[in-house]
Amino acid sequence: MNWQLLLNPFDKFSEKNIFIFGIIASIIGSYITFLSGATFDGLIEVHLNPETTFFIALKENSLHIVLITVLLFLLGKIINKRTRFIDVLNAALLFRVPFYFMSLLLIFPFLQSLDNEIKKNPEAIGKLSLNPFDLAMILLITCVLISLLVYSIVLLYKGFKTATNVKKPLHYVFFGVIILFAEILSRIILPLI
Amino acid sequence: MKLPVICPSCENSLRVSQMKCDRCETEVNGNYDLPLYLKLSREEQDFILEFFLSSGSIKEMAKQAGNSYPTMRNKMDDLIEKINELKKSK
Repeated sequence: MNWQLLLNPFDKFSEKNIFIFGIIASIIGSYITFLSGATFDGLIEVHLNPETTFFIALKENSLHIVLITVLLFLLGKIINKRTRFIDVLNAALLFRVPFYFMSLLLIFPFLQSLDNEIKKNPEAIGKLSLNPFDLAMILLITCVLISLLVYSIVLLYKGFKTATNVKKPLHYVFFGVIILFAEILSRIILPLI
Repeated sequence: MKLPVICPSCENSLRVSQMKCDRCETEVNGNYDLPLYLKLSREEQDFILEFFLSSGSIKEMAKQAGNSYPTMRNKMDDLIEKINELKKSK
């Protein structure tokens, strides 16, 4: 298995192939999110929401892609005027792919029932009695979720680095600030649309 | 044989001190600057040659090398930056 290709697909694949893959993945990913009853209520967040429809999942997903693309493209243009929109858009499209796997993980019935219990009585979160198997599964799923979140950030970072050819440490700080800013903006914009 | 451009002892740039005619064995001694192109690594020289042979198309070069366009363009930008620095330090 070529790990380098998984960590930095922007190095080898053409912008056209990445774009087509990213668009198809976004549509399928939104459908998976609808099936698993999840919601992307923040740029780097996935939660359970049984009221999700395919349209809502697609809308949330599209907003996050547009938001992070526009912000990173503006930053990219400031850093390197040769930055192309398509390269930043591709980074944003692939950045979302691990989130579709995250929503797929939330399909586990025991996670859904646990979520319902917590929603019914949020104060009893510390008093929940879990059997060892459920506890092990929660730990395992948490580890996978964190790994997927890290992987998504790595993909976005690699894509942005390839698009802009950034090298200075200060640029990485700006990149981090943009992610946080996009997270805040998405939380403000989502209830409005 | 690969032409050494960096001193293996102190890593300073090397200069040309002797040239020899293969036919009559005339030797020219002096202290000459290496041409800028020769101060680049072999890989960088090949990159410039490939760029020239593909009529200056980075897209074509990327296709031939199996890399993406931005990866190739970044390589080109880094090389331009290096050549500009070499020109400045001349």
